[in-house]
Amino acid sequence: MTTRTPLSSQTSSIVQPSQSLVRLTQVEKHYRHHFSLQIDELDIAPGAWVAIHGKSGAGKSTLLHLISGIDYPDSGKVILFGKNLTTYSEAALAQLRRNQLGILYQRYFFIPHLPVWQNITSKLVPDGISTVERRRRAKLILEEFQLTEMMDRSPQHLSGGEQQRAALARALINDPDLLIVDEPTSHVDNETQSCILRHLQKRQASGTTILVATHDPNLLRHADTHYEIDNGNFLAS
Amino acid sequence: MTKSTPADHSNPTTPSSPGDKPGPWSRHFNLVCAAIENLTRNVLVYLIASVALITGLTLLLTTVAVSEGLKTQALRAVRSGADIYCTWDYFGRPGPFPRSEIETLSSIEGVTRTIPRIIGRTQVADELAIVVGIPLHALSDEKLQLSGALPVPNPDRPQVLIGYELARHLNLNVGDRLTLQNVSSIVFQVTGITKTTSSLWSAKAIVCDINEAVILFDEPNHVSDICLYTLTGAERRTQEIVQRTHERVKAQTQEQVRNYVTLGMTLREGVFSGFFILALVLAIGSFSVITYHGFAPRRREIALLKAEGWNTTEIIEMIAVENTFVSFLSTALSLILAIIWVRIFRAAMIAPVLIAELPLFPEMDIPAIFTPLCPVLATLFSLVVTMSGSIYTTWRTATAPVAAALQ
Repeated sequence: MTTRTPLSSQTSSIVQPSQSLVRLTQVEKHYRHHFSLQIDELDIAPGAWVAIHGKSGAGKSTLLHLISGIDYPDSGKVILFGKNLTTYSEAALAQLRRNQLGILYQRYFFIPHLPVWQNITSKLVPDGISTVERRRRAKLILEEFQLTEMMDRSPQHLSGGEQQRAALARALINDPDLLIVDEPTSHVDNETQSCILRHLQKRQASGTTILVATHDPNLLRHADTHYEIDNGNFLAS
Repeated sequence: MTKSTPADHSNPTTPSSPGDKPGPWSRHFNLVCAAIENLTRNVLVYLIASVALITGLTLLLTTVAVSEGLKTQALRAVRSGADIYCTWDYFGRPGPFPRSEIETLSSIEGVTRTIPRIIGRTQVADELAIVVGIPLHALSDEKLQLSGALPVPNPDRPQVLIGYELARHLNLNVGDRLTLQNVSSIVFQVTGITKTTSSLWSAKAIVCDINEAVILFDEPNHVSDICLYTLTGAERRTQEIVQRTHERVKAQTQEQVRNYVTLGMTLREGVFSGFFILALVLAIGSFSVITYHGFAPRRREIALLKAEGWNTTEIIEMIAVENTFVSFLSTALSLILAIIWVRIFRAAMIAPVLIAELPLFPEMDIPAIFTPLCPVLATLFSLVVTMSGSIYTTWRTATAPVAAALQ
């Protein structure tokens, strides 16, 4: 049994166990004058499983984008690992995404000309990890998702369920501290849903903080906390 | 909270052995490999994007090579020619040179030899030929590459030396007979044919004795110009004397002629500069649109890499490596195409811009020299095109909010 490096030592700012891993205060995000997301306060503790639910278009994905730093709020603060996201340098933010964040996008977003294993390990490329080592790691994680046979195929040749599992494998390849998943069980069969749930539970058990946007009552049931977003307004459930 | 993992070798994030720790250059090596991977998996996209670039480069390389070949030939011809060229000033333009002046020019101090020339045009069958009439004994000193022999004065059977292209076109061989349109009563015998490496104008030339040229053009009292040969180092002084003593004679030294030739070539090359700028703009535009700016999958790919933890510098480094490869490959392909264009298609549509009276599709070999400067120039050109067409747009995409670029 090996002990993982504590989260606090990997980040530039120290996150104490009592502190929030993610904190949003007075956050607003507007889209083309007709949609806005407003969050007065949101705290996510390290190791928690937080679920966000709400109707389609309510702002769940926008919230996940703001927390993962792939979009920025118009006002307010997004504190990630104890530091305001807007104060991260470009290099520090890249390092954070590479080492501590795992993101499962709603629409998978694979690079179509690269095989599955290269898609899964793309975040390891700038770390200088060799091709052999990347392939080894891809094989290991794809074994967990019963996708070993697919590793050399184009992602376009995978079924919807296989793509979803491959996308989750990509999000987990760096063993992230914060896993952000957007609608992981939508449009997939029951077997894939179970597989995804099993992996999320396993990750939470090993200390990963999970933030999931979902409609799936099964996923909501396993969450420690869940919040509802209704037409851009953030409500605690 | 402290995270722990159950294992070691089964954990994808654990290196397989301590030796797998990345070295300082591993990151760059990985980015080069990623660039090659992108290229090999998107060959068609890059090929389409590079069409304008390759077209521009082929045009550039062909022009530079033909221009260089022509310049070298012209300068070689000038070097092996006379020391001073004298023409008669006729309303400010070169006009017929009175033969009576030859005697006085020969008597100038420092002049060792005086060779009058008659240069004109005539029709041979359906081909326009250039007749060069000179005292044939002067030919013996010329460094000509030919098959057969030099013509010699022969009043019974006038002899001529003809250019390679004319011989090919009229299907003439050494020993054949030839009549010209001007005076069909004179039957010439072909004693020699110049080879392709001789200067371009001579490829369509008929070199005969000056006395036969006098009959051909019916001009007994005038010649086209006079070539003076002087003592070594006496060119300038002789030129001054000629200008001082013969008001209507315009004398030009070999050095001046050489400068005119070089200038003329430079001006012709300048005509192509406009085409190159146009080609450059088109190439940058098409490269940018097809590979990056207007190519949504590529923008999404960049955004995805950014979301996965690549920083802008790493993305630009990968794109720059891709473009460097594209530049080298485009240069190599363009060089091959340019060589084919010159050697097989005789620089069709390009040579006529540089050489007067040449048809769009020349039937004669065009002199061309591919100097080492050609690939260097082409590589620089293609680097400018690919980098200009990609780096800025990549940077724009990489610095834009990832969420927007992913849509």
